[in-house]
Amino acid sequence: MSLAEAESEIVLSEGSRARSGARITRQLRRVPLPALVAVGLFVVIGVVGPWLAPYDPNQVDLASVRQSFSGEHWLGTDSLGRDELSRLLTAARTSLVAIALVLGLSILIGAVIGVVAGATGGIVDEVLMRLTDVGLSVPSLVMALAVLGARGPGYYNMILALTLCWWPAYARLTRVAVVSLRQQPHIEATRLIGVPPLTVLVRHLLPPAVAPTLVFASGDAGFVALAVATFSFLGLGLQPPGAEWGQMLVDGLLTLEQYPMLVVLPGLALTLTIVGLNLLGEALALDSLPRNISRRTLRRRIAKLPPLGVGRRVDRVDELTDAYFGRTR
Amino acid sequence: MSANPVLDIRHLSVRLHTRNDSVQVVDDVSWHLAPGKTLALVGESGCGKTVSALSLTGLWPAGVVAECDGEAWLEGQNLMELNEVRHRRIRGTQIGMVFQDPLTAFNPARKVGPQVADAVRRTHPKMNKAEVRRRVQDFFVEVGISEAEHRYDLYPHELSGGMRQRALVAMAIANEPRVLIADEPTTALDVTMQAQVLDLLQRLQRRHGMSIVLITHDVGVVAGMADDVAVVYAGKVVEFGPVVDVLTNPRHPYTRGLLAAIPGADVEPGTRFVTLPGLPPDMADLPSGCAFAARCELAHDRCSAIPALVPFESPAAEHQVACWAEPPDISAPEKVSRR
Amino acid sequence: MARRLLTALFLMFLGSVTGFLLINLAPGDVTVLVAERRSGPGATSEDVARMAHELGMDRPLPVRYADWVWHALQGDLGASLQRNLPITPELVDRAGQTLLLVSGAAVFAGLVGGLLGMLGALYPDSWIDRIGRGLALLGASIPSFYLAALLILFFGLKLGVVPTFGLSGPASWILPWIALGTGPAGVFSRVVRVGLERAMAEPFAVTGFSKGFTRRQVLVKDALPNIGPSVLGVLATQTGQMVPGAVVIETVFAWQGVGSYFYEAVKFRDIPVLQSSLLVFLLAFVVLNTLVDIIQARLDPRIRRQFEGVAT
Repeated sequence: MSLAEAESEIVLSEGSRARSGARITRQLRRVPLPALVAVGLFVVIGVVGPWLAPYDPNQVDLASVRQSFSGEHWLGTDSLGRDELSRLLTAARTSLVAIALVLGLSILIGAVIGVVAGATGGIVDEVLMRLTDVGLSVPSLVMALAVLGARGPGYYNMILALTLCWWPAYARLTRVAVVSLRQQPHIEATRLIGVPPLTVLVRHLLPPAVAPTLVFASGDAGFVALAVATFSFLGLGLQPPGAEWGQMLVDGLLTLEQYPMLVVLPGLALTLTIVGLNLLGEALALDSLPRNISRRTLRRRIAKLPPLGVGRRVDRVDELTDAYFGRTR
Repeated sequence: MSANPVLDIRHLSVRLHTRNDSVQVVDDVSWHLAPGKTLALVGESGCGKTVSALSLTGLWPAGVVAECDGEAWLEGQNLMELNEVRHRRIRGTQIGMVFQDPLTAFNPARKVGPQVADAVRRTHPKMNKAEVRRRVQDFFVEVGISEAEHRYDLYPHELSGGMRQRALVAMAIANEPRVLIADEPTTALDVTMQAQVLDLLQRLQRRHGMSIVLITHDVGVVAGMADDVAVVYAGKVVEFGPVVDVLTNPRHPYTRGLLAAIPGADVEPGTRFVTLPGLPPDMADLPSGCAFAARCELAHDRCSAIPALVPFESPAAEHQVACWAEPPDISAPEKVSRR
Repeated sequence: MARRLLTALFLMFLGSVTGFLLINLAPGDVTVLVAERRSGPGATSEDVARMAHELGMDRPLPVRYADWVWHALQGDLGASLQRNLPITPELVDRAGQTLLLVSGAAVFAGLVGGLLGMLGALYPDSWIDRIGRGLALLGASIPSFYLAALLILFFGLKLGVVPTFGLSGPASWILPWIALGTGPAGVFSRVVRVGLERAMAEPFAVTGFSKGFTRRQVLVKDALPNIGPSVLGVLATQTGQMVPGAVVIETVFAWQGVGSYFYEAVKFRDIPVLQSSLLVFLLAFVVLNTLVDIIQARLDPRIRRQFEGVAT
């Protein structure tokens, strides 16, 4: 879902909160099973992965370097003899935490800036939104790279750099939501009955304004995952010896021809995760176009309905009409 | 009605299927259209009048799958039995369409002339560019678009509503179709424009010998344009006949209600609008009997069965009505429901 | 037109300020680093101070920004900290490779993505549509460096049909183009597919069908001109976002473009090079967007009307 689509979604769904809630539920039901499985697996492994790991992911064992699959090391070992499976499992958490932090911080910063801008209006709004516009109009990953360049590589620096370039979209979304909410009768009513502005802000504006950004974030997660992987690949994220898929992949590149699995496996984990996140985002995206009923469902439905030609045919009470008109039809 | 209708619809039923729902929108409808004549399908929006016309062209909006039953004969072919390829060949060449909103009916990103030229090129694929252009401009002149040379290269938004509708008509008649389906052709226009466009349609009809299926909810348009009328209610034709008979001597309570609801020019200021009581029926949930019974003053026990469309007065009469009410009831005009 | 250029200039200004601030407000004194690199470990505080003065780092930020912009406008972007070589000729030298990479990838994305999207819209829900959508999803999801590695492994090492790194004639361009272009191709094909399908549901498409057009004719004659301009904009945005991808791909394939220069600067905290590359990227981005704006306005009468302010 693009930012513009997300914005129009918010504007369209203004009106009734119940309806937009129902829409989100409906959208969630549309998420295909493979996406749920992939994302679910990623999250679960991200949480419990390190405990599932059969070995210490950083345990160097120079005696058993670059082994292939075996009963001892299911997915083999890397160039330092570390257990590949353990590293893959541990790396899931690295990604999950990075994605969650970047998105969480972006939503937080975006919510604060968006609500302040939308609720105060005037010059504050103007300044904050122009700032947001600049953030949106320059390519964010390049900016993030530059920030990392200035601050030096590192896991938290990477998260900081990404957040710094990621929040503007969320600020914009929150503001759009707040502004369209503020014009609603029930919010105006709170002002009329004298609810303090701060209470209105926190109790009535913030929750419904942040809800759509959460939907947007779920579609955005794939991009963050890709960015995190790219930065790690470039050696700018988590520093050795910590395990991260992108970084494991780089390590394997040196021996790509001899030991391709050291590249293929982390890449596969990465790709599956991102495919799952993107599928999730696609399913949640604005989909205004009605889709045709599938042929199979149609056939099944028609079988259940009465035959078309005789559905509501005229009741054959010919005698009555005949008597009425005194003729034979 | 004359012996050989151009278009002969027999027992047409249409059920529309969307992802969530199936609704029967047209229910056992029969009507016919004589060469060079105009038949008006009149009714409230959503009553199935547009759908019965669309089923002739086989064009359905996105997300809708139609299931049709019955026959629709045009020039010796049953349209209901055509496959997509043969149906397509009929579109434009034998059935032309004029749509309600000429602004959205044109592609906003293309010039008007070339969009009309597409239609010309269909039957004259070998014609060169200049010839096609000249021909389109001839059509423009014929439908009353002045400065055709200049207007050929304008975009839809650069034309006025009336001009756009004229251009749309030019596109529809470019291949001289036998039948023209005009779906609310004047609804989106100013009142003054409406008369001009109707006038244009009639002139073209005379010149090209077209038959017109006019879909409208405007009884005034019917009176000015149609030869025959089919009044449609809840997917069924409830009254059918020559326009004079139906409008001056309406038989079905629904037709009477429609006619009574037209505000006349001679109405005293302050008079309340006459309206039909109740709401249009929910097509997805029709009663088992006559669908109009719920809004009908003359409703009776018999109305739990569906009345047939039968000739009124004499067996050979063109004027037909589908109502159980006794002649004394329905011939008494003052009984028309008023509020 | 003039307004559009002004907007572009303003954006350049804001972007460069933002970049400048983000880079220069980072904690940690770069001068220490440079001093150590230049005069060996154990640089004294005097060394550092001298270095700071030499580099102009001891002046207030606005002055430094103004100075930097002033020189940049004259084509002087300063010298790199790492090698103390002038930046401008280096950038000019490297721009060609990056241009080759990005434009090739953009063409690949446009052709492949456009074709997939069109086929999908032409035969919706057919097997070709399903495969197309699957490929689009995969393409948009797979990290470029992973795809690059797989391509190198398969075509370069196993089959040996193309060079695996460096720049040695057209054969060596193919893999980088594919690796960089696949992601945008995936996104682009989805945009084309959805855009065409929406256009095919518009009333004007129904008009097209009522003229007796086939689905293909409506798609080509009516839907494509309708979505063309906006889709072009998406492709341009995608191209603009290829820059970080170029950093990766140039590194993987050992090309000497602006991307790899930028990457080196990132690794060594080479602030002048960072600023300068960022400026070049920003310039490319703004120029690209402005160009697309102009082309869109030419193609699309509705946008043209907005710009000319003609009422109908």
